[in-house]
Amino acid sequence: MKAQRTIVPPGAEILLVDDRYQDLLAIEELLTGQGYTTSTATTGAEALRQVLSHDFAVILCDVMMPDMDGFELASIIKQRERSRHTPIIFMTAAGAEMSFIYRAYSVGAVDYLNKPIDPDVFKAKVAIFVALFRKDLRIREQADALRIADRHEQQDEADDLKIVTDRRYRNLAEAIPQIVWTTNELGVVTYFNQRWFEYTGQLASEAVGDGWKRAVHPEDLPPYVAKCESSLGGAEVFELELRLRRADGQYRWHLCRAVPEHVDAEFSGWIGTNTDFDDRKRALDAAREAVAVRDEFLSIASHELRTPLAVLDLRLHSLESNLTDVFSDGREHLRTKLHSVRSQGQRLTSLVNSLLDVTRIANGRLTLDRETFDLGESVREGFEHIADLARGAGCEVGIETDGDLVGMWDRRRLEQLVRNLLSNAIKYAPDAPIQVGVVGVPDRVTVSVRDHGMGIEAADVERVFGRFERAVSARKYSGLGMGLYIARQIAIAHGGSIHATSTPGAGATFLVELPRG
Amino acid sequence: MSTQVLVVDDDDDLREALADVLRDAGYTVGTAANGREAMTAMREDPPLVVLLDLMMPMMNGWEVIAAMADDPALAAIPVCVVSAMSGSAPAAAHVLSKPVSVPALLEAVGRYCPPDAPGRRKRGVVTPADA
Repeated sequence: MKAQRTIVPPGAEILLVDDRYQDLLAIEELLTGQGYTTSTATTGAEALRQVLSHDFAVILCDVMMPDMDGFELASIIKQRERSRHTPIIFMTAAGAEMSFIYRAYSVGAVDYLNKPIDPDVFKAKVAIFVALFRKDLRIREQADALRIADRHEQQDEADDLKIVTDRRYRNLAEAIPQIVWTTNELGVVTYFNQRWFEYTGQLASEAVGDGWKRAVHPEDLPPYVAKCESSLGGAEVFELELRLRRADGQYRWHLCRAVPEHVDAEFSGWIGTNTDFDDRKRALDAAREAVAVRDEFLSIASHELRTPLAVLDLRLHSLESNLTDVFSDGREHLRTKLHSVRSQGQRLTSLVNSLLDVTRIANGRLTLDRETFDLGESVREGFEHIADLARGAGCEVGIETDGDLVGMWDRRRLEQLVRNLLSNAIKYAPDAPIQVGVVGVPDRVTVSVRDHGMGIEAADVERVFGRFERAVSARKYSGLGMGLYIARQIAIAHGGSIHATSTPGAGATFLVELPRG
Repeated sequence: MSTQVLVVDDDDDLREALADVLRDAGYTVGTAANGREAMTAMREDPPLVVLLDLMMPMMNGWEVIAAMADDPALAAIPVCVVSAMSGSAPAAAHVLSKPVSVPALLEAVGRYCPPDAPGRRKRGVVTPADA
């Protein structure tokens, strides 16, 4: 095989392919003294090997060759991207038929020559292709030179910038009170600022490799390592809390935050800071625990209060119905008093229920018990519960319904929502009518409650839905300020919303939107 | 007269108060202080409806419902769960949330059985029906 090894003379521009060696010599002879470098091949296979390794200005190819003829060779050369545009000139015996000429063009030949070759025509044709090739080459070289020059300039600028910014980064890293570190793309630490060594008491020689890990609390190391590995290459900011051992041996909580760095869109490592927030964390944990304890207490207390309240209510109900005889004979006032005791008991019950709801919401324990029902009916039922209250306040409540009002919701909760909105309207807009509209549209049902009271200032329109909030002073209006908060949370739990619109002095409208569930 | 409503609750006062309201409404009421007592009472005298608390010692409400489902004689008896916990009730016939309002209680029980004596009975007063 060594004999077949192809050697292309350096700078060769013309490839001559002919199975007859004498013909090759003759053609080469024609080109001598023209300033060309030529390469020769006596088989199609050899020619291909040369074309694979070298770009030629023109290929002169005999058609009739054993094994692989000129047409086959041309079509293979044309299939290859690199050599697709290399011109091929076929050489063939004189008197070739037109069919041959067509075939030559169809495989991509640019021209053909009849043998014996006319030296002047031959030289002229070759000269054109070589001149074109040389010009093309020159243009390409110039373009490359330009590109390289441009890149060098950019690189120089970037290098200058990098040196400056690196120095500034380091200075900055040393100037801030936090611990600063960087890693490479594998997550291996490549830099700590001086603060690290001061804080942990480690020497630079102790921190190298994985040595720094000895300053991390053993319990916090596995989650840290796991998170590091899972975030490698990521684009997200990395945030984690961990304890670091201070030089005095005390473990203190740190907030570890790192941003990924990229070079040419490739992840190149992290740059991170550790901030000692131990005091803040302890205070925060204590506050969180206090809130949790309070919520838990509220939850248990309201839970426990419900049984005695239920007994009271049931007993008072029994008394009322059993003492009918006693209430006659001029002792009607006893019935009024008993009724008042019972209604105050019920008020207490509803306050306790609200408290329990608030603690449930705060703990994310507001669960829905969905069933299919007609919201219009449910709104009417919700109203029945407070019809007495409305009458007492001089509010005439009109309920209008329109469209398909059936959906999958928690019936009890939505009755509560409507009751809360109505109680709110009755409380803040007495002696005026209240309009309730329940309207079904294709994907949802809306409930609107419109009153004609004092309205809500624009600045308070969102605040009224806050926990323990009210738009006006608590001295004037009783209640815990939980009704609208609970109403909104019920709407949210159903995937819906409540919003208020108001013109101060002319009343407010509360609009509830509920997806059909 | 056989029991119409069986009230099961471990809180003595609440149990008796519930029973009294139902008696006032004309029902014949039986009581049980826990699940075990309830099962015994039900097997002796199957009620038309059971008013069941969930959180009880000995045998809780969930266990009672499971035991009733396993007993062909009791499986068809409707259960009204009286619970302070919304969302945690088993798939019972009806759920009444604590504290139970009287109208809701009477409405729920009324669904499954009409009172023995229509109208309210007045305690201590002998009506012609009792005589």
